[in-house]
Amino acid sequence: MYKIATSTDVIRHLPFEEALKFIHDTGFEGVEIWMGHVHQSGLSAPEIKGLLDTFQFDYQVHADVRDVNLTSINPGIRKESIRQTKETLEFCRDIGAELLTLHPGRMSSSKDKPEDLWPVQIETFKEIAGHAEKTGVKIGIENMEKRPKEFINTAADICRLIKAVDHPLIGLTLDLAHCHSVEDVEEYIRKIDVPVFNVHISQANHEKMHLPFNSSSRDLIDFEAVLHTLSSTYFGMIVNESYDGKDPEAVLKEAFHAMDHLNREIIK
Amino acid sequence: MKKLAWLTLVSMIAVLLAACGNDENTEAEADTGGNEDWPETLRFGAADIEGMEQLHTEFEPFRAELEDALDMEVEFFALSNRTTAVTAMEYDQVDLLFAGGAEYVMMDSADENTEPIAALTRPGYLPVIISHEDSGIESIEDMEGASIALSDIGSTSAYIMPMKMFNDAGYDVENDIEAYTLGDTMYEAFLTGETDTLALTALNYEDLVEEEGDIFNVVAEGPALPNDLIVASPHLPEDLVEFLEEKMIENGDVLIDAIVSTGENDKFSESEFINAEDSDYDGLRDAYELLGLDFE
Repeated sequence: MYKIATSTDVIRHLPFEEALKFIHDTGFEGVEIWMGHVHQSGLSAPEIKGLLDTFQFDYQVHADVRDVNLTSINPGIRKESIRQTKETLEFCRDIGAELLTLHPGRMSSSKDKPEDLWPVQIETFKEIAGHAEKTGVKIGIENMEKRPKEFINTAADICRLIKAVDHPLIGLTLDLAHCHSVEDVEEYIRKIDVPVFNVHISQANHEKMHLPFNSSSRDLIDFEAVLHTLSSTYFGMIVNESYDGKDPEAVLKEAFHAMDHLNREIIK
Repeated sequence: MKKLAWLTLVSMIAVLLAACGNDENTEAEADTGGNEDWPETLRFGAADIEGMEQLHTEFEPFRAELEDALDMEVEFFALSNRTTAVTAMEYDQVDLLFAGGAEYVMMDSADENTEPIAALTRPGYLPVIISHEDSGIESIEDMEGASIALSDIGSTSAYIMPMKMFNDAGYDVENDIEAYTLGDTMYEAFLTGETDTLALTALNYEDLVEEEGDIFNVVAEGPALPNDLIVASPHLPEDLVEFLEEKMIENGDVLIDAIVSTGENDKFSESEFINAEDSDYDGLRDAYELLGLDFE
Protein backbone atom coordinates (compact mmCIF):
# COMPACT_ATOMS: atom_id res chain seq x y z
CA MET A 1 0.00 0.00 0.00
CA TYR A 2 1.18 3.47 -0.81
CA LYS A 3 0.97 6.37 1.63
CA ILE A 4 -1.54 8.76 0.05
CA ALA A 5 -0.49 12.41 0.07
CA THR A 6 -1.13 15.62 -1.79
CA SER A 7 0.79 18.68 -2.78
CA THR A 8 -0.37 21.78 -0.93
CA ASP A 9 0.04 23.65 -4.22
CA VAL A 10 -3.27 22.29 -5.53
CA ILE A 11 -5.12 24.41 -2.95
CA ARG A 12 -2.65 27.27 -2.76
CA HIS A 13 -5.51 29.81 -2.73
CA LEU A 14 -6.19 28.75 0.89
CA PRO A 15 -4.04 30.08 3.75
CA PHE A 16 -1.44 27.46 4.72
CA GLU A 17 -3.05 26.36 7.99
CA GLU A 18 -6.50 26.16 6.40
CA ALA A 19 -5.06 24.14 3.52
CA LEU A 20 -3.48 21.63 5.91
CA LYS A 21 -6.77 21.25 7.80
CA PHE A 22 -8.68 20.66 4.56
CA ILE A 23 -6.11 18.07 3.43
CA HIS A 24 -6.29 16.33 6.80
CA ASP A 25 -10.10 16.32 6.88
CA THR A 26 -10.22 14.91 3.35
CA GLY A 27 -8.31 11.85 4.58
CA PHE A 28 -4.76 12.29 3.25
CA GLU A 29 -1.98 10.84 5.42
CA GLY A 30 0.78 13.00 4.02
CA VAL A 31 1.57 16.31 2.39
CA GLU A 32 4.18 17.64 0.03
CA ILE A 33 4.69 21.21 1.09
CA TRP A 34 5.03 23.58 -1.82
CA MET A 35 7.65 26.19 -0.89
CA GLY A 36 5.69 28.85 -2.73
CA HIS A 37 2.86 28.19 -0.27
CA VAL A 38 5.28 28.53 2.65
CA HIS A 39 6.66 31.84 1.37
CA GLN A 40 3.13 33.11 0.84
CA SER A 41 2.15 32.13 4.42
CA GLY A 42 4.84 34.17 6.19
CA LEU A 43 5.10 31.38 8.79
CA SER A 44 8.45 30.42 10.34
CA ALA A 45 9.93 26.92 10.19
CA PRO A 46 8.97 26.12 13.83
CA GLU A 47 5.42 27.35 13.17
CA ILE A 48 5.17 25.15 10.06
CA LYS A 49 6.54 22.17 11.99
CA GLY A 50 4.05 22.79 14.78
CA LEU A 51 1.15 22.71 12.31
CA LEU A 52 2.40 19.55 10.62
CA ASP A 53 2.74 17.84 13.97
CA THR A 54 -0.76 18.92 14.97
CA PHE A 55 -2.22 17.12 11.98
CA GLN A 56 0.21 14.19 12.37
CA PHE A 57 1.15 14.26 8.70
CA ASP A 58 4.03 12.51 7.03
CA TYR A 59 5.61 15.30 5.03
CA GLN A 60 8.18 16.31 2.48
CA VAL A 61 8.93 19.49 0.54
CA HIS A 62 8.83 20.64 -3.09
CA ALA A 63 11.17 23.53 -3.87
CA ASP A 64 9.85 26.78 -5.28
CA VAL A 65 10.40 26.62 -9.03
CA ARG A 66 9.15 30.08 -9.98
CA ASP A 67 11.99 31.91 -11.82
CA VAL A 68 14.48 29.38 -10.45
CA ASN A 69 16.82 27.77 -12.97
CA LEU A 70 19.80 25.75 -11.76
CA THR A 71 21.43 25.79 -15.22
CA SER A 72 20.64 29.37 -16.16
CA ILE A 73 23.24 30.83 -18.49
CA ASN A 74 22.80 34.08 -16.58
CA PRO A 75 25.37 33.55 -13.78
CA GLY A 76 23.49 35.73 -11.29
CA ILE A 77 20.25 33.79 -11.71
CA ARG A 78 22.10 30.49 -11.45
CA LYS A 79 23.91 31.57 -8.29
CA GLU A 80 20.67 32.73 -6.67
CA SER A 81 18.91 29.50 -7.71
CA ILE A 82 21.60 27.44 -5.98
CA ARG A 83 21.47 29.69 -2.90
CA GLN A 84 17.69 29.31 -2.62
CA THR A 85 17.98 25.55 -3.07
CA LYS A 86 20.49 25.30 -0.22
CA GLU A 87 18.28 27.49 1.93
CA THR A 88 15.34 25.17 1.22
CA LEU A 89 17.45 22.18 2.29
CA GLU A 90 18.06 23.95 5.59
CA PHE A 91 14.32 24.60 5.90
CA CYS A 92 13.71 20.86 5.36
CA ARG A 93 16.20 20.05 8.11
CA ASP A 94 14.57 22.57 10.46
CA ILE A 95 11.07 21.14 10.02
CA GLY A 96 12.27 17.50 9.99
CA ALA A 97 11.37 16.78 6.34
CA GLU A 98 13.40 13.92 4.89
CA LEU A 99 12.96 14.70 1.20
CA LEU A 100 13.15 17.72 -1.07
CA THR A 101 11.93 17.54 -4.66
CA LEU A 102 13.85 19.70 -7.14
CA HIS A 103 13.35 20.45 -10.81
CA PRO A 104 16.47 19.99 -12.90
CA GLY A 105 17.88 23.02 -14.67
CA ARG A 106 16.55 23.93 -18.11
CA MET A 107 17.69 25.93 -21.12
CA SER A 108 17.51 29.70 -20.70
CA SER A 109 16.89 30.21 -24.41
CA SER A 110 15.56 27.98 -27.13
CA LYS A 111 18.90 28.66 -28.86
CA ASP A 112 20.80 26.85 -26.07
CA LYS A 113 22.06 23.35 -26.77
CA PRO A 114 21.26 20.72 -24.08
CA GLU A 115 24.68 19.02 -24.37
CA ASP A 116 26.36 22.33 -23.53
CA LEU A 117 24.34 22.48 -20.30
CA TRP A 118 24.89 18.89 -19.13
CA PRO A 119 28.26 19.56 -17.39
CA VAL A 120 26.84 22.48 -15.41
CA GLN A 121 23.70 20.44 -14.59
CA ILE A 122 25.82 17.63 -13.13
CA GLU A 123 28.23 19.92 -11.28
CA THR A 124 25.36 21.93 -9.79
CA PHE A 125 23.66 18.82 -8.45
CA LYS A 126 26.97 17.55 -7.06
CA GLU A 127 27.30 20.83 -5.17
CA ILE A 128 23.70 20.54 -3.95
CA ALA A 129 24.30 16.90 -2.94
CA GLY A 130 27.13 18.08 -0.70
CA HIS A 131 24.75 20.44 1.05
CA ALA A 132 22.08 17.73 1.24
CA GLU A 133 24.56 15.61 3.12
CA LYS A 134 25.28 18.39 5.58
CA THR A 135 21.56 18.72 6.30
CA GLY A 136 20.73 14.99 6.16
CA VAL A 137 17.97 15.57 3.59
CA LYS A 138 17.40 13.41 0.48
CA ILE A 139 16.80 14.99 -2.92
CA GLY A 140 14.40 13.69 -5.56
CA ILE A 141 15.16 15.21 -8.96
CA GLU A 142 11.95 15.35 -10.96
CA ASN A 143 11.60 14.10 -14.53
CA MET A 144 10.16 17.00 -16.52
CA GLU A 145 7.36 17.17 -19.04
CA LYS A 146 8.15 17.54 -22.70
CA ARG A 147 7.90 21.26 -23.27
CA PRO A 148 10.19 23.93 -24.74
CA LYS A 149 13.55 24.43 -22.92
CA GLU A 150 13.24 21.36 -20.65
CA PHE A 151 15.89 18.76 -21.49
CA ILE A 152 15.57 16.22 -18.67
CA ASN A 153 12.50 14.46 -20.04
CA THR A 154 13.10 10.81 -20.90
CA ALA A 155 13.95 7.95 -18.56
CA ALA A 156 17.41 7.92 -20.14
CA ASP A 157 17.88 11.66 -19.40
CA ILE A 158 16.89 11.51 -15.73
CA CYS A 159 18.82 8.29 -15.08
CA ARG A 160 21.90 9.77 -16.79
CA LEU A 161 21.76 12.78 -14.48
CA ILE A 162 21.23 10.84 -11.26
CA LYS A 163 23.98 8.34 -12.12
CA ALA A 164 26.39 11.13 -13.04
CA VAL A 165 25.84 12.89 -9.72
CA ASP A 166 26.41 9.49 -8.06
CA HIS A 167 25.42 10.29 -4.50
CA PRO A 168 23.29 8.14 -2.17
CA LEU A 169 21.10 11.08 -1.18
CA ILE A 170 20.17 11.79 -4.81
CA GLY A 171 17.31 9.87 -6.44
CA LEU A 172 14.23 10.37 -8.58
CA THR A 173 10.91 12.07 -8.00
CA LEU A 174 8.90 10.29 -10.64
CA ASP A 175 6.13 12.41 -12.11
CA LEU A 176 3.75 10.04 -13.89
CA ALA A 177 1.99 12.81 -15.83
CA HIS A 178 5.34 14.07 -17.11
CA CYS A 179 6.23 10.52 -18.22
CA HIS A 180 3.00 10.47 -20.25
CA SER A 181 4.18 13.51 -22.22
CA VAL A 182 7.22 11.51 -23.37
CA GLU A 183 6.07 7.93 -23.93
CA ASP A 184 3.93 5.11 -22.54
CA VAL A 185 4.16 5.46 -18.74
CA GLU A 186 4.66 1.75 -18.06
CA GLU A 187 7.50 1.63 -20.59
CA TYR A 188 9.04 4.69 -18.95
CA ILE A 189 8.92 3.04 -15.51
CA ARG A 190 10.52 -0.16 -16.80
CA LYS A 191 13.52 1.83 -18.07
CA ILE A 192 14.29 3.42 -14.69
CA ASP A 193 17.44 2.05 -13.09
CA VAL A 194 18.02 4.64 -10.36
CA PRO A 195 16.40 4.83 -6.91
CA VAL A 196 12.86 6.24 -6.87
CA PHE A 197 12.42 8.43 -3.77
CA ASN A 198 9.01 9.93 -4.49
CA VAL A 199 6.08 9.74 -6.93
CA HIS A 200 3.77 12.48 -8.22
CA ILE A 201 0.42 11.42 -9.61
CA SER A 202 -2.18 13.26 -11.68
CA GLN A 203 -4.10 12.56 -14.83
CA ALA A 204 -2.78 13.85 -18.17
CA ASN A 205 -3.39 13.68 -21.88
CA HIS A 206 -0.80 14.38 -24.50
CA GLU A 207 -1.49 18.09 -24.39
CA LYS A 208 -2.21 18.96 -20.75
CA MET A 209 -0.62 17.92 -17.48
CA HIS A 210 -1.98 17.61 -13.92
CA LEU A 211 -5.63 17.09 -14.83
CA PRO A 212 -8.26 15.80 -12.37
CA PHE A 213 -8.54 12.01 -12.08
CA ASN A 214 -12.07 12.02 -13.56
CA SER A 215 -11.03 13.85 -16.74
CA SER A 216 -12.40 12.51 -19.97
CA SER A 217 -10.12 12.15 -22.95
CA ARG A 218 -9.02 9.31 -25.18
CA ASP A 219 -5.34 9.45 -24.32
CA LEU A 220 -5.35 9.43 -20.51
CA ILE A 221 -3.03 7.42 -18.25
CA ASP A 222 -4.19 3.91 -17.31
CA PHE A 223 -3.35 4.12 -13.60
CA GLU A 224 -4.39 0.56 -12.80
CA ALA A 225 -1.70 -0.81 -15.11
CA VAL A 226 0.83 1.88 -14.21
CA LEU A 227 0.57 1.45 -10.44
CA HIS A 228 0.71 -2.31 -10.83
CA THR A 229 4.03 -1.92 -12.69
CA LEU A 230 5.32 0.68 -10.24
CA SER A 231 4.52 -1.48 -7.22
CA SER A 232 7.30 -3.91 -8.14
CA THR A 233 9.92 -1.25 -7.39
CA TYR A 234 8.38 1.48 -5.25
CA PHE A 235 6.51 1.59 -1.95
CA GLY A 236 6.41 5.01 -0.42
CA MET A 237 4.48 8.23 -0.62
CA ILE A 238 2.41 8.97 -3.69
CA VAL A 239 1.59 12.65 -4.06
CA ASN A 240 -1.47 14.07 -5.79
CA GLU A 241 -0.89 16.96 -8.18
CA SER A 242 -4.26 17.02 -9.97
CA TYR A 243 -5.63 20.53 -10.25
CA ASP A 244 -8.52 22.48 -11.68
CA GLY A 245 -8.77 26.20 -11.04
CA LYS A 246 -12.60 26.15 -11.12
CA ASP A 247 -13.13 24.09 -7.96
CA PRO A 248 -9.80 22.98 -6.44
CA GLU A 249 -11.35 21.61 -3.22
CA ALA A 250 -13.75 19.33 -5.14
CA VAL A 251 -10.89 18.12 -7.35
CA LEU A 252 -8.79 17.36 -4.27
CA LYS A 253 -11.60 15.32 -2.68
CA GLU A 254 -12.10 13.42 -5.91
CA ALA A 255 -8.35 12.80 -6.11
CA PHE A 256 -8.35 11.29 -2.63
CA HIS A 257 -11.15 8.88 -3.48
CA ALA A 258 -9.51 7.86 -6.76
CA MET A 259 -6.12 7.30 -5.10
CA ASP A 260 -7.67 5.45 -2.15
CA HIS A 261 -9.54 3.17 -4.56
CA LEU A 262 -6.39 2.45 -6.58
CA ASN A 263 -4.44 1.79 -3.39
CA ARG A 264 -7.03 -0.64 -2.01
CA GLU A 265 -7.98 -2.41 -5.21
CA ILE A 266 -4.78 -2.44 -7.21
CA ILE A 267 -1.93 -2.36 -4.72
CA LYS A 268 -3.61 -3.96 -1.66
CA MET B 1 69.17 -26.65 -34.24
CA LYS B 2 71.30 -25.86 -31.15
CA LYS B 3 70.57 -22.18 -31.68
CA LEU B 4 66.81 -22.85 -31.74
CA ALA B 5 67.01 -24.91 -28.52
CA TRP B 6 68.97 -22.14 -26.82
CA LEU B 7 66.45 -19.51 -27.88
CA THR B 8 63.60 -21.68 -26.66
CA LEU B 9 65.32 -22.12 -23.29
CA VAL B 10 65.94 -18.36 -22.98
CA SER B 11 62.28 -17.68 -23.85
CA MET B 12 61.07 -20.18 -21.25
CA ILE B 13 63.29 -18.61 -18.58
CA ALA B 14 62.02 -15.18 -19.52
CA VAL B 15 58.40 -16.34 -19.25
CA LEU B 16 59.11 -17.98 -15.89
CA LEU B 17 60.83 -14.86 -14.57
CA ALA B 18 57.94 -12.72 -15.76
CA ALA B 19 55.49 -15.05 -14.07
CA CYS B 20 57.46 -14.85 -10.78
CA GLY B 21 57.53 -11.10 -11.12
CA ASN B 22 53.76 -11.08 -11.63
CA ASP B 23 53.21 -13.14 -8.51
CA GLU B 24 55.22 -10.66 -6.49
CA ASN B 25 53.26 -7.81 -8.00
CA THR B 26 49.96 -9.51 -7.22
CA GLU B 27 50.95 -9.94 -3.60
CA ALA B 28 52.02 -6.33 -3.40
CA GLU B 29 48.77 -5.23 -5.00
CA ALA B 30 46.75 -7.34 -2.58
CA ASP B 31 48.58 -5.69 0.32
CA THR B 32 47.99 -2.17 -0.87
CA GLY B 33 44.61 -2.50 -2.50
CA GLY B 34 46.01 -1.70 -5.93
CA ASN B 35 44.06 -4.06 -8.20
CA GLU B 36 42.81 -2.56 -11.42
CA ASP B 37 39.13 -3.35 -10.98
CA TRP B 38 39.06 -2.01 -7.42
CA PRO B 39 37.57 1.44 -6.97
CA GLU B 40 40.06 4.22 -6.22
CA THR B 41 37.87 5.46 -3.39
CA LEU B 42 35.63 3.34 -1.20
CA ARG B 43 32.21 4.95 -0.65
CA PHE B 44 31.26 4.11 2.92
CA GLY B 45 27.71 4.83 4.09
CA ALA B 46 26.61 4.95 7.72
CA ALA B 47 22.90 4.41 8.37
CA ASP B 48 20.84 6.37 10.91
CA ILE B 49 23.22 9.35 10.92
CA GLU B 50 21.68 12.80 10.58
CA GLY B 51 24.01 14.79 8.38
CA MET B 52 27.74 15.33 7.91
CA GLU B 53 28.28 17.09 11.21
CA GLN B 54 27.13 14.08 13.24
CA LEU B 55 29.03 11.74 10.93
CA HIS B 56 32.22 13.76 11.29
CA THR B 57 31.84 14.04 15.07
CA GLU B 58 31.20 10.33 15.55
CA PHE B 59 33.26 8.62 12.89
CA GLU B 60 36.08 10.78 11.43
CA PRO B 61 38.86 9.04 13.43
CA PHE B 62 37.46 5.67 12.30
CA ARG B 63 37.45 6.82 8.65
CA ALA B 64 41.05 8.00 8.90
CA GLU B 65 42.15 4.78 10.63
CA LEU B 66 40.34 2.71 8.01
CA GLU B 67 42.17 4.54 5.21
CA ASP B 68 45.46 3.67 6.88
CA ALA B 69 44.47 0.04 7.39
CA LEU B 70 43.34 -0.43 3.79
CA ASP B 71 45.76 1.97 2.14
CA MET B 72 42.78 3.22 0.13
CA GLU B 73 40.82 6.45 0.14
CA VAL B 74 37.57 6.17 2.08
CA GLU B 75 34.72 8.63 1.58
CA PHE B 76 31.92 8.65 4.16
CA PHE B 77 28.23 9.35 3.50
CA ALA B 78 25.64 10.06 6.18
CA LEU B 79 22.41 8.21 5.41
CA SER B 80 19.56 9.35 7.57
CA ASN B 81 17.46 6.20 7.63
CA ARG B 82 17.47 2.52 6.77
CA THR B 83 15.42 2.89 3.57
CA THR B 84 17.95 5.35 2.15
CA ALA B 85 20.79 3.06 3.14
CA VAL B 86 19.26 -0.05 1.61
CA THR B 87 18.35 1.80 -1.59
CA ALA B 88 21.84 3.30 -1.89
CA MET B 89 23.35 -0.18 -1.68
CA GLU B 90 20.89 -1.64 -4.18
CA TYR B 91 21.64 1.06 -6.76
CA ASP B 92 25.44 0.96 -6.35
CA GLN B 93 25.68 4.39 -4.71
CA VAL B 94 27.80 3.07 -1.82
CA ASP B 95 30.42 0.30 -1.61
CA LEU B 96 30.26 -0.39 2.11
CA LEU B 97 27.61 0.21 4.71
CA PHE B 98 27.81 0.31 8.47
CA ALA B 99 24.36 -1.00 9.31
CA GLY B 100 22.17 -2.88 11.72
CA GLY B 101 20.99 -6.44 11.25
CA ALA B 102 17.62 -5.29 9.91
CA GLU B 103 19.25 -3.35 7.08
CA TYR B 104 21.46 -6.32 6.24
CA VAL B 105 18.49 -8.68 6.02
CA MET B 106 16.72 -6.26 3.66
CA MET B 107 19.81 -5.71 1.48
CA ASP B 108 20.54 -9.42 1.26
CA SER B 109 16.96 -10.01 0.24
CA ALA B 110 17.27 -7.42 -2.55
CA ASP B 111 20.53 -9.01 -3.78
CA GLU B 112 21.79 -12.25 -2.31
CA ASN B 113 25.36 -11.37 -3.36
CA THR B 114 25.46 -8.72 -0.62
CA GLU B 115 28.34 -9.77 1.65
CA PRO B 116 28.72 -9.30 5.40
CA ILE B 117 32.33 -8.15 5.93
CA ALA B 118 32.67 -7.99 9.69
CA ALA B 119 30.34 -7.79 12.66
CA LEU B 120 30.78 -5.46 15.59
CA THR B 121 29.97 -7.22 18.84
CA ARG B 122 28.06 -5.30 21.51
CA PRO B 123 27.91 -6.81 24.99
CA GLY B 124 24.60 -5.78 26.52
CA TYR B 125 22.92 -5.49 23.12
CA LEU B 126 19.77 -7.37 24.02
CA PRO B 127 16.15 -6.28 24.15
CA VAL B 128 14.56 -5.38 27.47
CA ILE B 129 10.97 -4.43 28.23
CA ILE B 130 10.43 -2.28 31.31
CA SER B 131 7.40 -0.90 33.16
CA HIS B 132 6.83 1.78 35.78
CA GLU B 133 7.60 0.58 39.29
CA ASP B 134 3.99 0.95 40.51
CA SER B 135 2.29 -0.26 37.31
CA GLY B 136 1.61 -3.79 38.53
CA ILE B 137 3.32 -5.10 35.38
CA GLU B 138 6.17 -7.26 36.56
CA SER B 139 6.41 -10.01 33.97
CA ILE B 140 5.46 -10.48 30.35
CA GLU B 141 2.40 -12.46 31.49
CA ASP B 142 1.01 -9.20 32.96
CA MET B 143 1.16 -7.42 29.60
CA GLU B 144 -2.30 -8.26 28.17
CA GLY B 145 -3.96 -4.98 27.17
CA ALA B 146 -0.89 -2.95 28.23
CA SER B 147 0.60 -0.22 26.07
CA ILE B 148 4.22 -0.18 24.95
CA ALA B 149 6.39 2.56 23.47
CA LEU B 150 8.48 1.24 20.60
CA SER B 151 10.93 2.90 18.24
CA ASP B 152 10.27 2.57 14.47
CA ILE B 153 8.98 -0.43 12.56
CA GLY B 154 12.18 -2.10 11.45
CA SER B 155 14.19 -1.28 14.56
CA THR B 156 15.79 -4.56 15.61
CA SER B 157 16.09 -3.80 19.30
CA ALA B 158 13.00 -1.67 19.90
CA TYR B 159 10.40 -3.14 17.55
CA ILE B 160 11.12 -6.45 15.83
CA MET B 161 12.59 -8.49 18.66
CA PRO B 162 10.28 -7.14 21.44
CA MET B 163 7.28 -7.91 19.23
CA LYS B 164 8.67 -11.40 18.67
CA MET B 165 8.97 -11.76 22.45
CA PHE B 166 5.25 -11.00 22.79
CA ASN B 167 4.49 -13.45 20.04
CA ASP B 168 6.60 -16.14 21.71
CA ALA B 169 4.76 -15.47 24.99
CA GLY B 170 1.49 -16.35 23.26
CA TYR B 171 0.07 -12.89 22.60
CA ASP B 172 -1.74 -11.79 19.47
CA VAL B 173 0.38 -8.67 18.92
CA GLU B 174 -2.32 -7.01 16.83
CA ASN B 175 -5.02 -7.25 19.48
CA ASP B 176 -3.55 -8.03 22.90
CA ILE B 177 -0.89 -5.30 23.05
CA GLU B 178 -1.29 -1.56 22.45
CA ALA B 179 1.86 -0.87 20.46
CA TYR B 180 2.96 2.69 19.64
CA THR B 181 5.85 3.29 17.26
CA LEU B 182 7.25 6.62 18.39
CA GLY B 183 10.83 6.85 17.14
CA ASP B 184 13.08 8.88 19.42
CA THR B 185 10.11 10.16 21.44
CA MET B 186 9.48 6.70 22.90
CA TYR B 187 11.43 7.53 26.06
CA GLU B 188 9.49 10.72 26.67
CA ALA B 189 6.16 8.97 26.09
CA PHE B 190 7.03 6.28 28.60
CA LEU B 191 8.53 8.58 31.22
CA THR B 192 5.51 10.90 31.14
CA GLY B 193 3.24 7.90 31.70
CA GLU B 194 1.64 7.90 28.25
CA THR B 195 2.57 4.24 27.88
CA ASP B 196 2.75 1.46 30.48
CA THR B 197 5.95 -0.06 29.16
CA LEU B 198 8.99 0.66 27.00
CA ALA B 199 11.19 -1.50 24.75
CA LEU B 200 14.90 -0.68 24.73
CA THR B 201 18.32 -2.33 24.90
CA ALA B 202 19.91 -3.44 28.16
CA LEU B 203 22.64 -0.82 27.70
CA ASN B 204 20.10 1.97 27.22
CA TYR B 205 18.21 0.67 30.26
CA GLU B 206 21.36 1.08 32.37
CA ASP B 207 21.68 4.68 31.14
CA LEU B 208 18.01 5.33 31.92
CA VAL B 209 18.40 4.05 35.49
CA GLU B 210 21.46 6.24 35.90
CA GLU B 211 19.48 9.30 34.84
CA GLU B 212 16.09 8.59 36.40
CA GLY B 213 16.91 6.25 39.30
CA ASP B 214 15.94 2.63 39.81
CA ILE B 215 12.20 3.20 39.47
CA PHE B 216 11.34 0.57 36.86
CA ASN B 217 10.45 -3.11 36.68
CA VAL B 218 12.24 -5.29 34.16
CA VAL B 219 9.31 -7.13 32.62
CA ALA B 220 11.23 -9.28 30.17
CA GLU B 221 14.68 -9.70 28.71
CA GLY B 222 15.27 -11.24 25.28
CA PRO B 223 18.22 -13.11 23.77
CA ALA B 224 21.28 -11.25 22.45
CA LEU B 225 20.47 -9.22 19.35
CA PRO B 226 22.26 -9.78 16.05
CA ASN B 227 25.36 -7.62 15.79
CA ASP B 228 25.67 -4.44 13.76
CA LEU B 229 27.91 -5.09 10.83
CA ILE B 230 29.80 -3.75 7.85
CA VAL B 231 28.24 -4.90 4.60
CA ALA B 232 29.88 -4.98 1.17
CA SER B 233 28.05 -4.05 -2.00
CA PRO B 234 27.27 -6.94 -4.35
CA HIS B 235 28.96 -4.82 -7.04
CA LEU B 236 32.43 -5.07 -5.45
CA PRO B 237 34.98 -7.54 -6.86
CA GLU B 238 35.25 -10.74 -4.84
CA ASP B 239 38.98 -10.31 -4.11
CA LEU B 240 38.34 -6.82 -2.71
CA VAL B 241 35.65 -8.20 -0.40
CA GLU B 242 38.13 -10.80 0.87
CA PHE B 243 40.79 -8.11 1.32
CA LEU B 244 38.36 -5.94 3.30
CA GLU B 245 37.32 -8.85 5.53
CA GLU B 246 40.93 -9.67 6.29
CA LYS B 247 41.95 -6.05 6.99
CA MET B 248 38.94 -5.23 9.15
CA ILE B 249 39.53 -8.19 11.43
CA GLU B 250 43.32 -7.74 11.45
CA ASN B 251 43.00 -4.07 12.44
CA GLY B 252 39.94 -4.55 14.65
CA ASP B 253 41.47 -3.14 17.83
CA VAL B 254 42.69 0.13 16.34
CA LEU B 255 39.44 0.59 14.45
CA ILE B 256 37.36 0.10 17.62
CA ASP B 257 39.64 2.52 19.49
CA ALA B 258 39.02 5.07 16.73
CA ILE B 259 35.24 4.60 16.93
CA VAL B 260 35.22 5.01 20.70
CA SER B 261 37.79 7.85 20.78
CA THR B 262 35.21 10.51 19.88
CA GLY B 263 33.31 9.93 23.12
CA GLU B 264 30.11 9.65 21.07
CA ASN B 265 30.10 5.87 20.74
CA ASP B 266 30.54 4.52 24.25
CA LYS B 267 28.16 1.68 23.37
CA PHE B 268 31.03 0.14 21.40
CA SER B 269 33.62 0.46 24.18
CA GLU B 270 33.71 -3.29 24.82
CA SER B 271 33.13 -4.28 21.19
CA GLU B 272 35.33 -6.18 18.79
CA PHE B 273 35.24 -6.88 15.08
CA ILE B 274 34.54 -10.53 14.33
CA ASN B 275 33.78 -12.52 11.19
CA ALA B 276 30.14 -12.17 10.22
CA GLU B 277 28.10 -15.04 8.85
CA ASP B 278 24.87 -14.69 6.94
CA SER B 279 23.28 -17.35 9.16
CA ASP B 280 23.78 -15.08 12.22
CA TYR B 281 20.79 -13.12 10.92
CA ASP B 282 18.39 -16.04 10.39
CA GLY B 283 16.73 -15.34 13.75
CA LEU B 284 15.92 -11.86 12.55
CA ARG B 285 14.49 -13.20 9.28
CA ASP B 286 12.30 -15.57 11.32
CA ALA B 287 11.06 -12.62 13.41
CA TYR B 288 10.19 -10.65 10.27
CA GLU B 289 8.19 -13.55 8.90
CA LEU B 290 6.50 -14.25 12.21
CA LEU B 291 5.35 -10.64 12.46
CA GLY B 292 4.26 -10.54 8.84
CA LEU B 293 6.78 -7.80 8.05
CA ASP B 294 8.03 -7.56 4.51
CA PHE B 295 11.79 -7.44 4.12
CA GLU B 296 11.83 -8.31 0.42
